[in-house]
Amino acid sequence: MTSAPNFGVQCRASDGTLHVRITGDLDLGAEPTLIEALSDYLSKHQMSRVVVDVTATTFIDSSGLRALLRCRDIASRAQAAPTLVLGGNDRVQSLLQIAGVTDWFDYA
Amino acid sequence: MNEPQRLDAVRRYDVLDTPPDGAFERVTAMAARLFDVPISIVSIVDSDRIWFKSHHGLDVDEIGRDPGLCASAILQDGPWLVTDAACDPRTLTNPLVAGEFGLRFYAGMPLTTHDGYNLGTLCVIDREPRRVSDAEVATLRDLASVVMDELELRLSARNTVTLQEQLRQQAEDVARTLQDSLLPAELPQVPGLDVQARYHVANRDRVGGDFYDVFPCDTGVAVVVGDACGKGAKAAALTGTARWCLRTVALGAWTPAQALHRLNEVIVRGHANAERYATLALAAVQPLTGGGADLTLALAGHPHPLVLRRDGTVDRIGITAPVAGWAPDIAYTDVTAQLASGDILVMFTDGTLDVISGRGSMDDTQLRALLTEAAGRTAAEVADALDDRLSRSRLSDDAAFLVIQPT
Repeated sequence: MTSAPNFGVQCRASDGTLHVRITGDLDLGAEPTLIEALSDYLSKHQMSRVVVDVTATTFIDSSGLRALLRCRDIASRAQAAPTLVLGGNDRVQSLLQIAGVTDWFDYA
Repeated sequence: MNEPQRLDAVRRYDVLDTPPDGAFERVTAMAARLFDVPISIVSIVDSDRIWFKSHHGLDVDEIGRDPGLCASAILQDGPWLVTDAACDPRTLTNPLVAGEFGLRFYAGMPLTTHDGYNLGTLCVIDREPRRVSDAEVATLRDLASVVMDELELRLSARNTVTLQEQLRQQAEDVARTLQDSLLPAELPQVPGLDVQARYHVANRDRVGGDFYDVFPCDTGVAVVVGDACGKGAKAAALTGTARWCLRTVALGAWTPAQALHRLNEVIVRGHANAERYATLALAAVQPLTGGGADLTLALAGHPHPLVLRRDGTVDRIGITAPVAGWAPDIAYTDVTAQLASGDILVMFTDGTLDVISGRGSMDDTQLRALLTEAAGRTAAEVADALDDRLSRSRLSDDAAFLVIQPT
């Protein structure tokens, strides 16, 4: 499975916060890339906070939703407080609202 | 040597009565040339005959086992040498020796499998007596090894093909079993309710996580539509958990919100580290004696079900709450509604919206418009209209929906 051509993950760290910006389509093909990128970074660096930013995410399906929710769990387990940054695409926003998962909090 | 086991080995190599094969022809031709004899044979000793896989210089496919010298040759591990058969007490009365054929020289090397069974021989034959040197015996041994390598190669190639076929078959069985586990075998007949269900699969090879279930309970019927996040076996396993958990909860006194709360706890406690989530819409539908039905519904991260009234109005029902598996102790909320006789409740997965409103869309405007057009129709007609819409589109995701109408 290869990720969608327009999918991308950018990880940027500053002051103990890891900013994970997801661009393009977050689907079944993209899921492993996102999960690996985050797990990999957190296994090497201690962060106090992980901000997952979907302002530039164009599409999320049920696999993408799971990928996003796994991000919260991975951050929580690495003792980094997870936060979701919404914005941009209406479809993505309404999916996350219907899924009831816009409000991220720490639970590990 | 244990003959039944040796015959099993012969069967395993599945070489008897196979067509001529260049590799073996080359070995017998080479053996005849190196030994400067007219005849060389690759023989396989069957229960009642000696069959020739390759017979250089002899126009015979097989002979009976009794007179066959190869049958004697396979009884030992090393070479079986007869330098002058007419004077050799082991062979002098053999019909091949005493008779018209006039065999005088025979050197046979057993074809020994890796697990020690002699399948047959590579042999060289002459009508003149001959001596054989140690170097020639070594050559015959090497050539017999080449023959055996070829037989092993063919066996392993055949085994690989068989294995692949078995694996493919198993994978298909697993996929089918998983797919079957997502849906009830049949919908229950509930007096006073017409229940229709439809399911579309985007990709036959990859089981999706969409599911539905309909089962009777004390107060009528429980109806659930859900999507276990992701695809494949894990999604199917979570689906099983969800369906049977809800069925169990509904055995006692229950409301949809309570049942989703229980399910959420089951998933969170059981799969805390497994990243499992499911979106669900769960309804309890109670048909009323005078027609119509009472409806109680709760949502876990799932698109709002729609109610099509007879006048074409479409109501969106349910209160949004997080997907099951999101966190412990989520509060789900029951919403009640009345269905008049002829009203239609439509519960669906996001794959249905994908088709009708575009990939990844949660906007139900177009679905509502489509339902308005179907006002006044039966559950089956509405289901067929939606089904038709789904069938004409290329699905990017699985899609499931239920249509429920009180009579």
